[in-house]
Amino acid sequence: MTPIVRTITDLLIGFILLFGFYIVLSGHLSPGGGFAGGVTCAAGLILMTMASGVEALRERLSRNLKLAAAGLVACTLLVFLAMPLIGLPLSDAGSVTFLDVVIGLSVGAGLFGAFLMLAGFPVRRKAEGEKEGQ
Amino acid sequence: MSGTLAILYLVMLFMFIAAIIAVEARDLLSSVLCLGAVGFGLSVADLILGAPDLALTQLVVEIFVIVLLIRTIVARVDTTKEFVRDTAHVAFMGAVTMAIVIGVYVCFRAMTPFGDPPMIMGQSYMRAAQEAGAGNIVSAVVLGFRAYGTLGEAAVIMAAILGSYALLRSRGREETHEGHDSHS
Amino acid sequence: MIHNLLPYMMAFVIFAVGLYAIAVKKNLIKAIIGVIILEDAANLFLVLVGYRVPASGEPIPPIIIARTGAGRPAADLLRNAVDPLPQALVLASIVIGLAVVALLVVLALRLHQKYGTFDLTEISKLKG
Repeated sequence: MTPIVRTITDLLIGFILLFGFYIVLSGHLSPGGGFAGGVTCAAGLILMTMASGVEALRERLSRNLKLAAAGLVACTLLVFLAMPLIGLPLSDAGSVTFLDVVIGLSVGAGLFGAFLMLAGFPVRRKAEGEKEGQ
Repeated sequence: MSGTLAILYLVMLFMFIAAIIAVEARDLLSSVLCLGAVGFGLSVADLILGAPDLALTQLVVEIFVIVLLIRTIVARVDTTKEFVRDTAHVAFMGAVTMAIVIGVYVCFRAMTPFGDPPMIMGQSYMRAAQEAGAGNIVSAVVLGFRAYGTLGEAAVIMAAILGSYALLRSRGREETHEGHDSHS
Repeated sequence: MIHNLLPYMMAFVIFAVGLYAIAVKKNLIKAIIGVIILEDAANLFLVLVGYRVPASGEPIPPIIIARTGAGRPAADLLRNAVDPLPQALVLASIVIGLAVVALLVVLALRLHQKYGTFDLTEISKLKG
Protein backbone atom coordinates (compact mmCIF):
# COMPACT_ATOMS: atom_id res chain seq x y z
CA MET A 1 0.00 0.00 0.00
CA THR A 2 0.98 3.64 -0.24
CA PRO A 3 3.61 5.02 2.18
CA ILE A 4 1.01 7.29 3.78
CA VAL A 5 -1.11 4.33 4.86
CA ARG A 6 1.93 2.41 6.00
CA THR A 7 3.30 5.25 8.13
CA ILE A 8 -0.03 6.09 9.73
CA THR A 9 -0.63 2.42 10.47
CA ASP A 10 2.74 2.05 12.11
CA LEU A 11 1.97 5.04 14.30
CA LEU A 12 -1.59 4.00 15.14
CA ILE A 13 -1.27 0.27 15.70
CA GLY A 14 -0.19 0.73 19.30
CA PHE A 15 -3.21 2.87 20.10
CA ILE A 16 -5.60 0.51 18.38
CA LEU A 17 -4.31 -2.47 20.37
CA LEU A 18 -4.35 -0.41 23.56
CA PHE A 19 -7.96 0.55 22.95
CA GLY A 20 -8.81 -3.07 22.28
CA PHE A 21 -7.23 -4.12 25.59
CA TYR A 22 -9.12 -1.34 27.33
CA ILE A 23 -12.43 -2.56 25.95
CA VAL A 24 -11.60 -6.08 27.14
CA LEU A 25 -10.47 -5.10 30.61
CA SER A 26 -13.33 -2.72 31.35
CA GLY A 27 -15.97 -5.17 30.14
CA HIS A 28 -17.44 -5.52 33.60
CA LEU A 29 -17.93 -1.78 34.11
CA SER A 30 -18.98 -0.27 30.80
CA PRO A 31 -20.13 -1.61 27.44
CA GLY A 32 -17.69 -3.86 25.68
CA GLY A 33 -16.39 -7.09 27.04
CA GLY A 34 -14.35 -9.90 25.58
CA PHE A 35 -15.94 -10.19 22.14
CA ALA A 36 -15.84 -6.54 21.12
CA GLY A 37 -12.31 -6.09 22.43
CA GLY A 38 -11.02 -9.26 20.78
CA VAL A 39 -12.49 -8.37 17.40
CA THR A 40 -11.07 -4.82 17.69
CA CYS A 41 -7.56 -6.15 18.33
CA ALA A 42 -7.92 -8.51 15.38
CA ALA A 43 -9.10 -5.62 13.19
CA GLY A 44 -6.05 -3.57 14.15
CA LEU A 45 -3.72 -6.43 13.25
CA ILE A 46 -5.56 -6.89 9.95
CA LEU A 47 -4.99 -3.22 9.18
CA MET A 48 -1.29 -3.74 9.70
CA THR A 49 -1.33 -6.85 7.52
CA MET A 50 -3.01 -5.03 4.67
CA ALA A 51 -0.75 -2.01 4.94
CA SER A 52 2.62 -3.71 5.16
CA GLY A 53 2.01 -7.16 3.66
CA VAL A 54 1.86 -10.58 5.22
CA GLU A 55 5.62 -11.19 5.17
CA ALA A 56 6.43 -7.97 7.00
CA LEU A 57 3.86 -8.78 9.66
CA ARG A 58 5.16 -12.31 10.12
CA GLU A 59 8.68 -11.05 10.48
CA ARG A 60 7.65 -8.36 12.92
CA LEU A 61 5.56 -10.69 15.04
CA SER A 62 7.96 -13.60 15.13
CA ARG A 63 10.91 -11.49 16.13
CA ASN A 64 9.95 -11.48 19.78
CA LEU A 65 7.00 -13.82 19.70
CA LYS A 66 8.23 -16.57 21.99
CA LEU A 67 9.47 -14.11 24.57
CA ALA A 68 6.28 -12.03 24.42
CA ALA A 69 3.99 -15.05 24.67
CA ALA A 70 5.89 -16.50 27.62
CA GLY A 71 5.92 -13.13 29.36
CA LEU A 72 2.20 -12.64 28.78
CA VAL A 73 1.29 -16.04 30.17
CA ALA A 74 3.56 -15.59 33.18
CA CYS A 75 2.14 -12.16 33.97
CA THR A 76 -1.44 -13.33 33.67
CA LEU A 77 -0.90 -16.32 35.93
CA LEU A 78 1.02 -14.28 38.45
CA VAL A 79 -1.56 -11.57 38.71
CA PHE A 80 -4.66 -13.70 38.71
CA LEU A 81 -3.34 -16.33 41.08
CA ALA A 82 -1.43 -14.13 43.46
CA MET A 83 -4.06 -11.48 43.98
CA PRO A 84 -6.41 -13.53 46.14
CA LEU A 85 -3.45 -14.72 48.18
CA ILE A 86 -2.39 -11.18 48.95
CA GLY A 87 -5.96 -10.27 49.74
CA LEU A 88 -6.61 -7.62 47.14
CA PRO A 89 -9.39 -8.20 44.63
CA LEU A 90 -8.29 -7.54 41.06
CA SER A 91 -11.66 -6.19 40.12
CA ASP A 92 -15.06 -5.91 41.72
CA ALA A 93 -16.52 -8.61 39.60
CA GLY A 94 -14.03 -11.38 40.35
CA SER A 95 -13.77 -14.03 37.70
CA VAL A 96 -15.61 -12.02 35.06
CA THR A 97 -12.48 -10.04 34.21
CA PHE A 98 -10.38 -13.17 33.86
CA LEU A 99 -12.92 -14.74 31.53
CA ASP A 100 -13.09 -11.50 29.56
CA VAL A 101 -9.34 -11.53 28.95
CA VAL A 102 -9.40 -15.20 27.95
CA ILE A 103 -12.28 -14.70 25.54
CA GLY A 104 -10.62 -11.62 24.08
CA LEU A 105 -7.45 -13.60 23.39
CA SER A 106 -9.37 -16.53 21.94
CA VAL A 107 -11.67 -14.59 19.65
CA GLY A 108 -9.00 -12.13 18.54
CA ALA A 109 -6.44 -14.82 17.77
CA GLY A 110 -8.98 -17.00 15.99
CA LEU A 111 -10.30 -14.26 13.73
CA PHE A 112 -6.86 -12.91 12.91
CA GLY A 113 -5.70 -16.43 12.13
CA ALA A 114 -8.68 -16.84 9.80
CA PHE A 115 -7.69 -13.69 7.95
CA LEU A 116 -4.03 -14.71 7.68
CA MET A 117 -5.14 -18.03 6.21
CA LEU A 118 -7.18 -16.28 3.56
CA ALA A 119 -4.48 -13.73 2.82
CA GLY A 120 -2.06 -16.46 1.83
CA PHE A 121 -4.51 -18.03 -0.61
CA PRO A 122 -3.58 -17.59 -4.29
CA VAL A 123 -5.82 -15.69 -6.65
CA ARG A 124 -6.53 -16.69 -10.21
CA ARG A 125 -6.18 -13.30 -11.81
CA LYS A 126 -8.27 -12.07 -14.71
CA ALA A 127 -6.69 -12.77 -18.11
CA GLU A 128 -5.83 -9.82 -20.32
CA GLY A 129 -8.64 -9.81 -22.86
CA GLU A 130 -11.32 -11.43 -20.75
CA LYS A 131 -14.48 -9.46 -20.13
CA GLU A 132 -16.18 -9.62 -16.79
CA GLY A 133 -19.31 -11.77 -16.83
CA GLN A 134 -22.67 -10.05 -16.53
CA MET B 1 -45.32 7.73 18.48
CA SER B 2 -42.35 9.17 20.37
CA GLY B 3 -39.25 10.51 18.69
CA THR B 4 -37.14 7.48 19.60
CA LEU B 5 -39.54 5.11 17.91
CA ALA B 6 -39.74 7.30 14.81
CA ILE B 7 -35.94 7.21 14.47
CA LEU B 8 -36.03 3.43 14.97
CA TYR B 9 -38.53 3.02 12.14
CA LEU B 10 -36.41 5.24 9.89
CA VAL B 11 -33.31 3.15 10.62
CA MET B 12 -35.15 -0.08 9.91
CA LEU B 13 -36.49 1.35 6.66
CA PHE B 14 -32.91 2.28 5.74
CA MET B 15 -31.79 -1.27 6.50
CA PHE B 16 -34.60 -2.67 4.34
CA ILE B 17 -33.76 -0.49 1.34
CA ALA B 18 -30.03 -1.22 1.70
CA ALA B 19 -30.78 -4.95 1.90
CA ILE B 20 -32.83 -4.84 -1.29
CA ILE B 21 -30.10 -2.94 -3.12
CA ALA B 22 -27.44 -5.34 -1.80
CA VAL B 23 -29.37 -8.32 -3.11
CA GLU B 24 -30.31 -6.90 -6.50
CA ALA B 25 -27.22 -4.93 -7.50
CA ARG B 26 -25.46 -6.28 -10.54
CA ASP B 27 -21.96 -5.31 -9.47
CA LEU B 28 -20.66 -7.44 -6.60
CA LEU B 29 -18.63 -4.62 -5.07
CA SER B 30 -21.72 -2.39 -4.79
CA SER B 31 -23.68 -5.12 -3.08
CA VAL B 32 -20.92 -5.66 -0.53
CA LEU B 33 -20.90 -1.93 0.25
CA CYS B 34 -24.69 -1.93 0.68
CA LEU B 35 -24.27 -4.90 2.99
CA GLY B 36 -22.02 -2.66 5.06
CA ALA B 37 -24.85 -0.15 5.17
CA VAL B 38 -27.18 -2.85 6.53
CA GLY B 39 -24.71 -3.71 9.27
CA PHE B 40 -24.13 -0.10 10.24
CA GLY B 41 -27.89 0.51 10.32
CA LEU B 42 -28.18 -2.46 12.67
CA SER B 43 -25.48 -0.96 14.89
CA VAL B 44 -27.39 2.34 15.10
CA ALA B 45 -30.61 0.44 15.82
CA ASP B 46 -28.84 -1.36 18.68
CA LEU B 47 -27.87 2.02 20.13
CA ILE B 48 -31.43 3.26 19.88
CA LEU B 49 -32.74 0.12 21.56
CA GLY B 50 -30.43 0.45 24.56
CA ALA B 51 -27.79 -2.18 23.77
CA PRO B 52 -24.38 -0.47 23.62
CA ASP B 53 -22.29 -3.67 23.81
CA LEU B 54 -24.08 -5.00 20.78
CA ALA B 55 -23.61 -1.76 18.85
CA LEU B 56 -19.85 -1.89 19.49
CA THR B 57 -19.50 -5.56 18.59
CA GLN B 58 -21.74 -5.33 15.52
CA LEU B 59 -19.76 -2.37 14.18
CA VAL B 60 -16.39 -4.11 14.34
CA VAL B 61 -17.78 -7.43 13.08
CA GLU B 62 -19.40 -5.68 10.12
CA ILE B 63 -16.08 -4.08 9.17
CA PHE B 64 -14.48 -7.52 9.34
CA VAL B 65 -17.14 -9.02 7.06
CA ILE B 66 -16.77 -6.26 4.47
CA VAL B 67 -12.99 -6.68 4.40
CA LEU B 68 -13.34 -10.45 4.04
CA LEU B 69 -15.88 -10.22 1.20
CA ILE B 70 -13.97 -7.56 -0.72
CA ARG B 71 -10.83 -9.65 -0.58
CA THR B 72 -12.67 -12.57 -2.15
CA ILE B 73 -14.32 -10.53 -4.90
CA VAL B 74 -11.45 -8.39 -6.09
CA ALA B 75 -9.45 -9.79 -9.01
CA ARG B 76 -11.37 -13.04 -9.29
CA VAL B 77 -12.90 -13.98 -12.60
CA ASP B 78 -16.64 -14.27 -12.34
CA THR B 79 -18.78 -15.38 -15.27
CA THR B 80 -22.17 -15.59 -13.60
CA LYS B 81 -24.92 -14.73 -16.04
CA GLU B 82 -27.32 -13.26 -13.56
CA PHE B 83 -29.62 -11.50 -15.99
CA VAL B 84 -30.80 -14.74 -17.56
CA ARG B 85 -33.81 -15.25 -15.30
CA ASP B 86 -35.75 -18.37 -14.74
CA THR B 87 -39.02 -16.51 -14.26
CA ALA B 88 -41.05 -19.41 -13.02
CA HIS B 89 -38.50 -20.17 -10.30
CA VAL B 90 -38.30 -16.53 -9.19
CA ALA B 91 -42.07 -16.14 -9.10
CA PHE B 92 -42.46 -19.33 -7.11
CA MET B 93 -39.86 -18.27 -4.57
CA GLY B 94 -41.44 -14.84 -4.32
CA ALA B 95 -44.82 -16.42 -3.61
CA VAL B 96 -43.32 -18.72 -0.98
CA THR B 97 -41.65 -15.76 0.74
CA MET B 98 -44.92 -13.79 0.77
CA ALA B 99 -46.72 -16.79 2.21
CA ILE B 100 -44.09 -17.08 4.95
CA VAL B 101 -44.43 -13.39 5.80
CA ILE B 102 -48.21 -13.60 6.07
CA GLY B 103 -48.01 -16.78 8.14
CA VAL B 104 -45.49 -15.20 10.48
CA TYR B 105 -47.73 -12.16 10.93
CA VAL B 106 -50.50 -14.43 12.11
CA CYS B 107 -48.08 -16.04 14.57
CA PHE B 108 -46.75 -12.70 15.78
CA ARG B 109 -50.20 -11.73 17.06
CA ALA B 110 -49.57 -14.04 20.01
CA MET B 111 -46.40 -12.22 21.03
CA THR B 112 -46.11 -9.71 23.84
CA PRO B 113 -46.65 -6.16 22.63
CA PHE B 114 -43.57 -4.23 21.65
CA GLY B 115 -41.98 -2.38 24.55
CA ASP B 116 -43.36 -4.47 27.38
CA PRO B 117 -41.42 -7.72 27.77
CA PRO B 118 -42.33 -10.09 30.61
CA MET B 119 -38.70 -10.07 31.85
CA ILE B 120 -39.02 -12.95 34.26
CA MET B 121 -35.38 -14.02 34.09
CA GLY B 122 -34.20 -10.49 33.42
CA GLN B 123 -35.53 -9.20 36.72
CA SER B 124 -33.87 -11.97 38.73
CA TYR B 125 -30.56 -11.48 36.88
CA MET B 126 -30.61 -7.79 37.60
CA ARG B 127 -31.40 -8.35 41.24
CA ALA B 128 -28.65 -10.95 41.58
CA ALA B 129 -26.10 -8.93 39.62
CA GLN B 130 -26.13 -6.19 42.20
CA GLU B 131 -24.83 -8.68 44.74
CA ALA B 132 -22.34 -10.07 42.22
CA GLY B 133 -20.70 -6.68 41.99
CA ALA B 134 -20.65 -6.33 38.23
CA GLY B 135 -21.46 -3.01 36.68
CA ASN B 136 -22.37 -4.21 33.23
CA ILE B 137 -25.22 -6.68 33.65
CA VAL B 138 -24.92 -8.07 30.13
CA SER B 139 -21.29 -9.04 30.86
CA ALA B 140 -22.36 -10.57 34.17
CA VAL B 141 -25.01 -12.63 32.37
CA VAL B 142 -22.71 -13.75 29.55
CA LEU B 143 -19.70 -14.60 31.71
CA GLY B 144 -21.30 -15.30 35.07
CA PHE B 145 -24.79 -16.71 35.02
CA ARG B 146 -24.51 -18.27 31.56
CA ALA B 147 -20.81 -18.96 31.30
CA TYR B 148 -21.34 -22.44 29.87
CA GLY B 149 -23.12 -20.88 26.94
CA THR B 150 -20.11 -18.71 26.28
CA LEU B 151 -17.87 -21.77 26.50
CA GLY B 152 -19.96 -23.46 23.81
CA GLU B 153 -19.82 -20.33 21.70
CA ALA B 154 -16.02 -20.16 21.89
CA ALA B 155 -15.95 -23.84 20.89
CA VAL B 156 -18.15 -23.13 17.85
CA ILE B 157 -15.85 -20.31 16.73
CA MET B 158 -12.80 -22.55 17.06
CA ALA B 159 -14.54 -25.37 15.16
CA ALA B 160 -15.48 -23.05 12.29
CA ILE B 161 -12.00 -21.58 12.00
CA LEU B 162 -10.24 -24.95 12.25
CA GLY B 163 -12.65 -26.34 9.64
CA SER B 164 -11.88 -23.53 7.23
CA TYR B 165 -8.16 -23.98 7.86
CA ALA B 166 -8.48 -27.67 7.03
CA LEU B 167 -10.35 -26.81 3.83
CA LEU B 168 -7.62 -24.46 2.73
CA ARG B 169 -4.83 -26.82 3.63
CA SER B 170 -5.79 -29.80 1.52
CA ARG B 171 -4.72 -27.93 -1.57
CA GLY B 172 -1.15 -28.97 -0.78
CA ARG B 173 -2.02 -32.63 -1.12
CA GLU B 174 -3.68 -32.08 -4.50
CA GLU B 175 -0.54 -30.54 -5.88
CA THR B 176 1.71 -33.43 -4.97
CA HIS B 177 -0.73 -35.97 -6.39
CA GLU B 178 -1.29 -34.20 -9.69
CA GLY B 179 1.33 -36.26 -11.39
CA HIS B 180 -0.32 -39.54 -10.42
CA ASP B 181 -3.99 -39.23 -11.35
CA SER B 182 -5.86 -36.74 -13.45
CA HIS B 183 -9.09 -36.78 -11.48
CA SER B 184 -8.65 -35.52 -7.95
CA MET C 1 -52.38 -3.80 17.20
CA ILE C 2 -50.54 -2.93 14.00
CA HIS C 3 -48.51 -0.41 15.94
CA ASN C 4 -47.55 -3.02 18.50
CA LEU C 5 -46.35 -5.47 15.87
CA LEU C 6 -44.84 -3.09 13.34
CA PRO C 7 -41.19 -3.30 14.54
CA TYR C 8 -41.34 -7.10 14.58
CA MET C 9 -42.82 -7.19 11.10
CA MET C 10 -40.20 -4.84 9.72
CA ALA C 11 -37.43 -7.00 11.15
CA PHE C 12 -39.09 -10.02 9.60
CA VAL C 13 -39.40 -8.32 6.22
CA ILE C 14 -35.62 -7.81 6.22
CA PHE C 15 -35.33 -11.52 7.11
CA ALA C 16 -37.51 -12.33 4.09
CA VAL C 17 -35.21 -10.31 1.81
CA GLY C 18 -32.26 -12.43 2.96
CA LEU C 19 -34.25 -15.64 2.53
CA TYR C 20 -35.22 -14.60 -1.01
CA ALA C 21 -31.56 -13.95 -1.84
CA ILE C 22 -30.52 -17.41 -0.69
CA ALA C 23 -33.33 -19.13 -2.60
CA VAL C 24 -33.19 -17.31 -5.90
CA LYS C 25 -29.74 -15.94 -6.63
CA LYS C 26 -27.39 -17.87 -8.90
CA ASN C 27 -24.24 -16.13 -7.72
CA LEU C 28 -22.60 -17.73 -4.70
CA ILE C 29 -21.48 -14.40 -3.26
CA LYS C 30 -25.05 -13.10 -3.44
CA ALA C 31 -26.17 -16.16 -1.49
CA ILE C 32 -23.54 -15.43 1.18
CA ILE C 33 -24.79 -11.83 1.32
CA GLY C 34 -28.28 -13.23 1.82
CA VAL C 35 -27.05 -15.32 4.78
CA ILE C 36 -25.50 -12.23 6.37
CA ILE C 37 -28.71 -10.21 5.94
CA LEU C 38 -30.65 -13.09 7.48
CA GLU C 39 -28.42 -13.16 10.54
CA ASP C 40 -28.61 -9.38 10.94
CA ALA C 41 -32.40 -9.47 10.81
CA ALA C 42 -32.56 -12.30 13.37
CA ASN C 43 -30.30 -10.39 15.77
CA LEU C 44 -32.40 -7.25 15.27
CA PHE C 45 -35.53 -9.20 16.09
CA LEU C 46 -34.02 -10.58 19.31
CA VAL C 47 -32.97 -7.13 20.49
CA LEU C 48 -36.43 -5.77 19.65
CA VAL C 49 -38.06 -8.40 21.84
CA GLY C 50 -36.11 -7.26 24.89
CA TYR C 51 -36.88 -3.55 24.53
CA ARG C 52 -38.73 -1.89 27.36
CA VAL C 53 -40.22 1.54 26.71
CA PRO C 54 -38.72 3.89 29.31
CA ALA C 55 -40.79 6.18 31.47
CA SER C 56 -39.20 9.21 29.87
CA GLY C 57 -36.27 10.06 27.67
CA GLU C 58 -34.02 7.53 25.98
CA PRO C 59 -33.99 3.80 26.71
CA ILE C 60 -31.99 2.66 29.68
CA PRO C 61 -29.27 0.06 29.07
CA PRO C 62 -28.71 -2.41 31.90
CA ILE C 63 -25.57 -0.89 33.41
CA ILE C 64 -25.31 -0.16 37.14
CA ILE C 65 -23.54 3.00 38.16
CA ALA C 66 -19.93 2.27 38.99
CA ARG C 67 -16.63 4.04 39.35
CA THR C 68 -16.66 5.06 35.73
CA GLY C 69 -19.82 6.99 36.32
CA ALA C 70 -21.73 5.52 33.41
CA GLY C 71 -25.05 3.98 34.29
CA ARG C 72 -27.99 4.31 36.63
CA PRO C 73 -28.51 3.39 40.28
CA ALA C 74 -29.58 -0.16 40.75
CA ALA C 75 -33.14 0.39 41.91
CA ASP C 76 -33.82 2.48 38.83
CA LEU C 77 -32.75 -0.42 36.64
CA LEU C 78 -35.26 -2.89 38.00
CA ARG C 79 -38.13 -0.69 36.95
CA ASN C 80 -36.89 0.83 33.72
CA ALA C 81 -33.99 -0.95 32.07
CA VAL C 82 -34.22 -3.06 28.94
CA ASP C 83 -33.98 -6.82 29.26
CA PRO C 84 -30.34 -7.99 29.50
CA LEU C 85 -31.02 -11.58 28.49
CA PRO C 86 -31.64 -11.17 24.73
CA GLN C 87 -28.57 -8.95 24.54
CA ALA C 88 -26.46 -11.70 26.07
CA LEU C 89 -27.74 -14.15 23.45
CA VAL C 90 -27.18 -11.77 20.55
CA LEU C 91 -23.63 -10.94 21.69
CA ALA C 92 -22.54 -14.52 21.15
CA SER C 93 -24.65 -14.81 18.00
CA ILE C 94 -22.92 -11.91 16.26
CA VAL C 95 -19.44 -13.38 16.64
CA ILE C 96 -20.60 -16.89 15.73
CA GLY C 97 -22.18 -15.40 12.59
CA LEU C 98 -18.82 -13.96 11.68
CA ALA C 99 -17.07 -17.33 12.05
CA VAL C 100 -19.74 -19.04 9.94
CA VAL C 101 -19.39 -16.40 7.22
CA ALA C 102 -15.63 -16.95 7.24
CA LEU C 103 -16.23 -20.68 6.68
CA LEU C 104 -18.68 -19.95 3.82
CA VAL C 105 -16.18 -17.62 2.20
CA VAL C 106 -13.51 -20.33 2.36
CA LEU C 107 -15.93 -22.76 0.70
CA ALA C 108 -16.64 -20.21 -2.03
CA LEU C 109 -12.92 -19.69 -2.60
CA ARG C 110 -12.27 -23.41 -2.98
CA LEU C 111 -15.17 -23.74 -5.42
CA HIS C 112 -13.86 -20.82 -7.43
CA GLN C 113 -10.41 -22.34 -7.49
CA LYS C 114 -11.79 -25.57 -8.88
CA TYR C 115 -14.45 -24.33 -11.31
CA GLY C 116 -13.30 -20.81 -12.13
CA THR C 117 -16.66 -19.21 -11.47
CA PHE C 118 -19.08 -18.36 -8.70
CA ASP C 119 -22.09 -19.44 -10.76
CA LEU C 120 -24.11 -22.07 -8.93
CA THR C 121 -25.72 -23.52 -12.05
CA GLU C 122 -22.27 -24.23 -13.50
CA ILE C 123 -20.99 -25.71 -10.27
CA SER C 124 -24.01 -27.93 -9.76
CA LYS C 125 -23.33 -29.72 -13.02
CA LEU C 126 -20.53 -31.45 -11.07
CA LYS C 127 -17.90 -31.84 -13.73
CA GLY C 128 -15.03 -33.40 -11.78
